[in-house]
Amino acid sequence: MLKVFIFLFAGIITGFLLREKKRVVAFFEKALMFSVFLLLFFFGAEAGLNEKVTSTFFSSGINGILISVGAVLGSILFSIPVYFFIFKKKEAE
Amino acid sequence: MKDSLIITAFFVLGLILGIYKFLPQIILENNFSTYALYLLLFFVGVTMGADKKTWIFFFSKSLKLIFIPAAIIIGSLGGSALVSLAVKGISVKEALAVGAGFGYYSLSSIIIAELHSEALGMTALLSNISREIITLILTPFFVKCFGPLSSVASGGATAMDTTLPVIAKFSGKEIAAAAVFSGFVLTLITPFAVTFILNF
Repeated sequence: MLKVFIFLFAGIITGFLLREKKRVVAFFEKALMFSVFLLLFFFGAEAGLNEKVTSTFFSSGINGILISVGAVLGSILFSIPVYFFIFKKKEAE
Repeated sequence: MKDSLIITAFFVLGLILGIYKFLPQIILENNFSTYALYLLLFFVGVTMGADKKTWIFFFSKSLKLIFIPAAIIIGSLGGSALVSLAVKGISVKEALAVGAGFGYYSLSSIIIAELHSEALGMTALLSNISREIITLILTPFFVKCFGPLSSVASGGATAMDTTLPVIAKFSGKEIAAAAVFSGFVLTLITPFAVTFILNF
């Protein structure tokens, strides 16, 4: 876990220091896209090789969709009071 | 939208090559993805750190806006946990890790596949892609029934990029600015939250 945080923080600090250098930042954005493509390819390959994963593809998909339905409805539920707290009050002022 | 399709295509290509074992030995034997993940996390950090506009917005606007991503975090995790109690084959912790993707499917699924298992990574990928699709399709309905901020809530981390156009269209410009802010905070939090939950 520590390594994940170290790499993230190192990136954030580097990005903050480089924020004026538009070309360098643009390069990092491209590099990010490329590494996402590469990693998802590897992830796909490892998942494809793992028979436990391919045999449960359907059920894990259904579980995934159900979780996102729960997450979306939960988020919406909590967003309703926040909307009145931030935006409605401003209109009344 | 184009990027989402390319990303999915890379995953599907890897998947098919994996299933038919049509991969060079070097990929099978080495653990490239772990190193690539660290590199990816560094790149994510750089692009977030360099996002000057959002940082300025972050410090200059009323701190009240932080309640938006906070509500989305509580709602997403609460909703995910409840679902795990109702369905078979997924523990509360696993559901929380999937829900903590907040729609940021590429990064959350990669981290989960590395730190937990490919099976849960696959669930996270499908779950968070479906969160984006749900938002793109159902935003008009959500806004009508649950108010303008519901589109931002549904979009989660994607509210700053892929789902922003529909949010701006159906919830208005003022909410769209809040959407960029909320999506930014959630994008930033996703890798931390997922890692933290899996290690808990």
